Amino acid sequence: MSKKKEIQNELEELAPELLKIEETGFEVPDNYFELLSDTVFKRIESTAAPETSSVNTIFDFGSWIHQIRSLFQPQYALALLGIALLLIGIFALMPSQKIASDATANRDIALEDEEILQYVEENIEDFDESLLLSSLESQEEEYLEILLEEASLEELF
Amino acid sequence: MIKFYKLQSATHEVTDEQILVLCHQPAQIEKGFRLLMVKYQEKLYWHVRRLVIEHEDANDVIQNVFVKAYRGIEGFKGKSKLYTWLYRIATNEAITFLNRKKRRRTSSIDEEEHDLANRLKADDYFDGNEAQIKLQQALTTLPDKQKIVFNMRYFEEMSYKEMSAVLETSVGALKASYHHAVKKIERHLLEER
Repeated sequence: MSKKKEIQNELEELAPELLKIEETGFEVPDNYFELLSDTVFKRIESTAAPETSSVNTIFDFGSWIHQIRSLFQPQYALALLGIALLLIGIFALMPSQKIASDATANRDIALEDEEILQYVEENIEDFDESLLLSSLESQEEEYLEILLEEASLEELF
Repeated sequence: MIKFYKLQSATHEVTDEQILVLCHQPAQIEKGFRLLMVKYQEKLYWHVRRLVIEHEDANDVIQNVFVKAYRGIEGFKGKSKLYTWLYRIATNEAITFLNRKKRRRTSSIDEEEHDLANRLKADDYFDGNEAQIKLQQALTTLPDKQKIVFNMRYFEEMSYKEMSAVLETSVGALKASYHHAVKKIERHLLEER
């Protein structure tokens, strides 16, 4: 028995009304299928990572060598030496300052958290319930959106 | 306008194996993929269109399907049939689209049904009669799972075995889904008379 016949037999008893409707009535624009592959390839090309051609690489390499050589002229070499010494001086002083500032920032954040929690506990009666609920709902909505985004065939069947 | 009929009569000579050989060679991938598109684009488009209904939406979804297939074809090792793999991508993309649309929707199912009839009547790419509009309205009342199973069986005339390969579900479960879908649609069509 052909598939078509098998499906028709299935429906004769179950759904005779449905059997009368054979098509969907959907149409597509003229030449849609003729142009679809070009449209898809345009999209593929527009989203592909740009490639560096070998010609450009060779050209760039030559110009790089030229630029490096020019830096060895006396006036540039002296200026570079000065900048290098200045940078070494700055970096030698930086780590201790950074560690100190990080530690201060962490202590401030820790104190802030403690203070906030304490304040909330002491004044929980004063908080607006709808505000708390809306905050929870928005978090839940975001979570659901992420889950639904990942919903796929596996979850459906 | 190109009319859609339940079965496409066009046959394409190129085999999946030939397409895959081309797609797995970097210099030939575009040629291979264009052949793949010629062979499957209509079937996949109509599969998506019946789920998302409007042409503009189907056009967006089918482009995403082929972009994803192009990016994945290199890694496709032929564990499943090529058309099964493509159908899975297409179904997944259509479901993702429908889920996003549902999240944005603020109207009830009844309003959605009424709205759909108006949208179809105004649609340049719909030339159906009242019975076809009623069928689309009935389909909006089905859960996505039943809608997919119904479309694959009723319009695409797929066997339960083929559907089982695409949806990775047992034949028994698919028969039950189809049975429920058909009964609901029939009831809807009779109520609307």
